[in-house]
Amino acid sequence: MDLSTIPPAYPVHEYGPAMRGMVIGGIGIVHVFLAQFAIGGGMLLTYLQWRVGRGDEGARTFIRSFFKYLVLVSFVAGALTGVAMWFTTIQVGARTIGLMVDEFHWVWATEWVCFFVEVIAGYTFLRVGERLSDPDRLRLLALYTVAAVGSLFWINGILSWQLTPGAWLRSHDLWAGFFNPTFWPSLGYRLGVAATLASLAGVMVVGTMALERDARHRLVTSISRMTLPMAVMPLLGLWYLSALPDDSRRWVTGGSVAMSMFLAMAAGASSLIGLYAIVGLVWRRLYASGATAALLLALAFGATAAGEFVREGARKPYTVRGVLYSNAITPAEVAELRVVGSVAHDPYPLLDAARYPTPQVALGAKVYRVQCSACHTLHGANALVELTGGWADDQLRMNIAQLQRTKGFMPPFAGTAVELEALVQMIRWEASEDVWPDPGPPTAETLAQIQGWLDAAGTAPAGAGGR
Amino acid sequence: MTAIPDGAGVYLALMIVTFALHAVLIGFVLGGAGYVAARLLRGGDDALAAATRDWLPFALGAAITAGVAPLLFVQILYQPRFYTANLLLFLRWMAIVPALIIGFYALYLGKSARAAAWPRRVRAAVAWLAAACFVFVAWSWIDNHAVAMARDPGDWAALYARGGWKHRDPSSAPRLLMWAGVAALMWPAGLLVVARDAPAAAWRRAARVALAGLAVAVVGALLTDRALDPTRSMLALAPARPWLFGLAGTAAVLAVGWGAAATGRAPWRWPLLAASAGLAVALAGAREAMRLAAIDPRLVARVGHAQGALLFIAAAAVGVAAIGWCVVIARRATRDP
Repeated sequence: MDLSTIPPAYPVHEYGPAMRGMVIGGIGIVHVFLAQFAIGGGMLLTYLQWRVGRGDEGARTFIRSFFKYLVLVSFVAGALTGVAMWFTTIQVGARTIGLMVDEFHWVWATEWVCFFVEVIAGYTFLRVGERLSDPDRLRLLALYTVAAVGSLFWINGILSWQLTPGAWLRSHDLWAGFFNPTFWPSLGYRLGVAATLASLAGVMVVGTMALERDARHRLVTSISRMTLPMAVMPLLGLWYLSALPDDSRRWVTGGSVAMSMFLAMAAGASSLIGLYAIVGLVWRRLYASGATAALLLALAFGATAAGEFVREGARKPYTVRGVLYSNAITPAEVAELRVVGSVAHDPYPLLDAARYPTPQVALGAKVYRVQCSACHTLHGANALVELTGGWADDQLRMNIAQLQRTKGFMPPFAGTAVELEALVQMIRWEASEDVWPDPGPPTAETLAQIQGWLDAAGTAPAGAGGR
Repeated sequence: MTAIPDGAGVYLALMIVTFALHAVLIGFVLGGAGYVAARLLRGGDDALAAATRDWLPFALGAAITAGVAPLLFVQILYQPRFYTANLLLFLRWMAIVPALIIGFYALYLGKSARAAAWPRRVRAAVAWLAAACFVFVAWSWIDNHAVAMARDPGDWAALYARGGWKHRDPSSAPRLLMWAGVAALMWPAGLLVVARDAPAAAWRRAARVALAGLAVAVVGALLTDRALDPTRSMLALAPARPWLFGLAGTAAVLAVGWGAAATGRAPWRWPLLAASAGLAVALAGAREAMRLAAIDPRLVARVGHAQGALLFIAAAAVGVAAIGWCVVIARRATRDP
């Protein structure tokens, strides 16, 4: 087996009715939520320790209680879902993570240093925080916060590069890719979210503390000040949208109903939280119970999930814009794969080969596995059988051959006419319930027609170029 | 003799150093979790078990964090092999994440005040649950390594067809034995840092565990070598020889040092700590020397243009200083009344 084939031949797994993107998305949303809580938690604790220095003893009690939750939630589940992200990304997009490591491994190593300092500072506070002087406690919490924000800073450059590689596409300069068009609005937005999440979690923790109502109220008022950055988040959101490539922006602002709805949900939920926190808690100094905070936190989780869905979806048809399609094929490879075939170098057998009635259908299953299974299933989420059920055979052939024209967020088909016809027959066979009339090998006319459509569409993506 | 491919030297050096750090910490966790579980099963607790239980969550957090760096460098040096092994082992591989989360929370539960009031059997069950989770993770990493380093990658297609759950590698069990022995060596070394005031009787017990661990590690290493293809034997690979000398030297120091402690002398703290760290570095070096041939020079060349090394060096210097400051204030706080 040649380990250096282009594209690399990695084994592929399917997840039943869930598409691969849902798996990484699910874990990613949980990890982002917990990681942002850890960062915001540092900011909140540093702020409250500063208040301790100004005589706020209630803040000291709160820090002790809150830090316990921060350690149990963030240091364990947060850190390990980060490891899970890495492993899951390998499972669903090995070539994508490989490309990111190739380009940014020194940045990633720098992020690791920040993470290490964050963990050591955190555990130091946990073990000896009670015995430290107030100035040392403040320094230690500030160190924890700077390291946590540093970790976000570095990882944000890599993640935002995926969507907007910017001038990196031409120069391949690390810093051009790192400080890409969405870097700053994305960083600002994430910091605002981090502060808000920690604030809401803080109010929840206050609800568990054995304090008089007045003392709780004072704490809630202090903690809720951390939600003030939400006031600028609409501006950051608009900045982020304006920095998106035109096709991605159109896609999330009406081009796709699903994406637009998720964007609206993220914006709507964030606005509600922001209004309640800033107007109610900070300005009017209302009291919020732990239950209210928990509800707001759940809303924030929904907003985070919707926002991450939009961020991931806006990249389509790429995982790295202009460089790598969602199915781990590069734009430059499409032309060659149109000649040699997309499964020519795939050494892995079909796990259920015996169920396919003909070699042609089996070939179609392999083509589906390599080119489609990253974002589709056959019968579950985003199912090909359902999506194409109403199309006539020739319509199906033409729509796949001209995929980037059929849907602008799809990559061009990267295989031969024979592979395409095999894919068509496999979809038809999967759609049939009892009777499936085997059409036999494709006729020369059919293949010529498919080739004509492939040639007409060309190998370039629909919205070529990148920002 | 297999040469180090151009451009791979820096990554190999970082891989060895960071993996050794990870091995020391995870060795303390694995060995410590095993000791705590064994003590509870035998009916008693002691100063070593108490100190271990207290430090295990921190050690695991630091071990996982330290492990992220070699996880990064393995993706540079052995990217296609590592990714393929991940994918082939699939759900069995992904199971290490929930196993770690369960093991982590079990450690916190084990040291909680609430657990202290529970019946011994329940506490033992919690301790064994944690230890079992960590053994599963160690076994999974060993199998991942074995699959990634397959002599004939053509075997991967057959493994894919069979399913990763059914993978059995003849070197996995002896490797696990070797690492279990190493863990039993690293745990007492960790105690030299976190349980310095333990009574003499406890140190004699720790020394006996270390000596047993050393013996098990040597037997495991010999069995692993026998299970490998003769051409891949550590003894036959020239790049591995300096590391073998390092292993032999550090093992000798550890045998003498822990042997003396087993007879009732106070443990020689710094020589034992240095030899333990040296053993971890030599093990990491030997491991990389044995899989040097698996580095594809064409694939390492692809990262030759990567920028940012200076950034990392600067960050590492600041990070070491920051961590050093944390240690200083922690020691000051512990020392001062």
